Amino acid sequence: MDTELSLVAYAMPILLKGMGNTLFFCSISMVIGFVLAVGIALARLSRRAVLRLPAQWFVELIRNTPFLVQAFLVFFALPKLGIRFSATSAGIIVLSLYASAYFTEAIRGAILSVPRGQMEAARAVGMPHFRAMRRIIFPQMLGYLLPALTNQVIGVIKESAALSIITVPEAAMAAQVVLGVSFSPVETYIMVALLYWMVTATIAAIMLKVERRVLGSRSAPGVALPKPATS
Amino acid sequence: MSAGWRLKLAGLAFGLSAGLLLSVGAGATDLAEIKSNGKVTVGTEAAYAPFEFVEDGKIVGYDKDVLDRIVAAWGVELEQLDVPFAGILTGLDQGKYDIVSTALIMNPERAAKYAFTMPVAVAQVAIMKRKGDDKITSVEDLTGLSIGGPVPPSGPTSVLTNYNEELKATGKGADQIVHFQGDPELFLGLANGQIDGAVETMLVINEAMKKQPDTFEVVGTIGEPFYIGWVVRPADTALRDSINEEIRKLRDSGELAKLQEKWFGFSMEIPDSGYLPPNAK
Amino acid sequence: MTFDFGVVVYALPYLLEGAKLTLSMTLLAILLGVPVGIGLFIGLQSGGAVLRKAISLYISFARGTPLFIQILVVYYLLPSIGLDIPSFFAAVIALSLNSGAYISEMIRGGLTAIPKGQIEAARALAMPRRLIWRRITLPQIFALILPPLTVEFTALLKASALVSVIGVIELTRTAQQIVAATFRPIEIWIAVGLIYFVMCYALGALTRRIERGTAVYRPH
Repeated sequence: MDTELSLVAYAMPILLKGMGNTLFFCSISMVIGFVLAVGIALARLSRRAVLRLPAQWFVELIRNTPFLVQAFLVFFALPKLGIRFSATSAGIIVLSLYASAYFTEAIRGAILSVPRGQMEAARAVGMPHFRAMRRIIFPQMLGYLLPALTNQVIGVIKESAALSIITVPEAAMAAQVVLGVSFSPVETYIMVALLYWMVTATIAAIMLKVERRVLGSRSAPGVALPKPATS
Repeated sequence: MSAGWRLKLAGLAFGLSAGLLLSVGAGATDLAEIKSNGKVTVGTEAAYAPFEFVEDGKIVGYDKDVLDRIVAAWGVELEQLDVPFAGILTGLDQGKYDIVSTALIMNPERAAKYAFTMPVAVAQVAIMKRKGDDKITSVEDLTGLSIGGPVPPSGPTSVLTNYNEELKATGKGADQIVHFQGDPELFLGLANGQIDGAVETMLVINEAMKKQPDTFEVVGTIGEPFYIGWVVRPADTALRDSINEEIRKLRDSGELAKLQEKWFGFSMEIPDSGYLPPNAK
Repeated sequence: MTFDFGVVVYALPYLLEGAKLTLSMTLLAILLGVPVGIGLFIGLQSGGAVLRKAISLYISFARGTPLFIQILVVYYLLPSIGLDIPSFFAAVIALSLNSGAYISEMIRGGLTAIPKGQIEAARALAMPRRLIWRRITLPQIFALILPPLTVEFTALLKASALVSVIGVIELTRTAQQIVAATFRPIEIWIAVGLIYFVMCYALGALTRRIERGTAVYRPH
């Protein structure tokens, strides 16, 4: 038992610092990813093929290949083309691209979830376009967007563990550093898994609160709220 | 909210108790057992040219040639698993294989936990850089640089980490030590400019410079020369002695020197004793 | 920087061999994941309070932590509880334990989508329990589960790249070995990305076909 406790005492500061980095990388990537996603989602819904097709193929490519392969490509291949960056920026780039593709689908789904007739009806009763967006369309979109986004945010955090393979010093890498000294992988990986679990469970709980707060009774009729990914 | 916390605590308790389960108490494996099974299971990280690497879908290299000769002398079948380096020693502890035949630097941390065979090679650890890069000119001054090494528990990386602690005391330590999953990634990372220097043994560096001419150059060596050997579980010292016997035969017949010529381009002195760090198993 | 896609011609047989292993590993994991999912679901529906709590904790853990870490935990945990198996099977077990959690949620989602009134109506017509299950509930569950199951299969196929860290020589690990030998990351990783893409895209097309084919059995 003594050795178990000393392992925790030795490992925890290293793992917590790694988890801090994970949260930092993920937050930056998700902000970048979301901004990109708004643009890509609009392009994806555009009637012009020049905009629609590249956006569509980007999303398909990201969604149909493993994150790990994307990470290898960005990390090892792009620098060979003369684009050089540190492990951390490579990690942020690949995670942002990944997040943007999945966020795009959430945003697109949210836009499509509101029937076109709603806007037409609002305009017909004399509501200006902007107010119709704010009062009618946007609240309904949020009803779809927030739960979908919760899933993707948690997905991005979970996927980011693979960044350790391309040398990013995040939580899973911290576990490997601990292992180099402790040689006790089961305990170390369970500890880091528990840290991830606390993070994702907290995010799910917060997002659920936000959903209830923001949507309240304004939640659009007929829009079923999917359950968040974790309890 | 309180229910949520109870769940988390339950999870924590589960995790810790699962951790406590970890204790392996298998009996010792020896040559007699291997011979009666007709098979020896060996773990190798086949991404460490010229010691062990994959070519045309098969594991080849210096260690592999030595291993093949030992296994042939024993008259048993070889089952060789290609394992990622990060878990290679743990896999040995857990009995996934009985011998780790991968170039391992004999450092005190490892020697205290595992039984090393006699050395199969001797090498210095060095820092390598991109050819012509003047950001790094001496191993004495790594200020502001990021130096890469294979992921712990890599020998060269632990040499670098200790060395860097000493440098830091004089204010000339590296900014960052970056962990790569293996040498191929490490060398690619250096060539690509993701790091300023890479640490490895000279034997591996020589091979990398041969494979990628005009890409790398050596900055300098750090620390004393290290012996390189294989390991078995600490309880299996008898098996270790059986391996040593075969390595010694190969050395005395001149076969080992021939293999060193083949893979490294020169041969080296392999001592009979005195190679292990103090407190070794 | 010059490209040499000739290296892909050299690598392709090995990569395809790796892809075959990726596919069979994923298939095996799904086949094992379905009974795991059914077991979890039944336990969640009819188990005692303790079992139900344990199962929902398990599901939350499986879905709330990185698969990457789960694979490593399973890989290192199995031998220490006396199960000494090759890394291929450790990978299959880790993947199926993970997907079991998702599958049980799918089954739950599928069941709640079937209107209660149908079963009440069948009971009112004095249909035996078994027949209700076979004629009414099961076909609908199947129709509801099959499309998400193929989606799960695709997700698992992509996620299976992670088992390269425990040394299963599947597609990704094969690619790493070839990159190590050839120093040609761009060509190899593009080729590997395309192989995954073709597999996943084909599965996506299959999903859409199944969705259309089973639409008639789905409750409205």
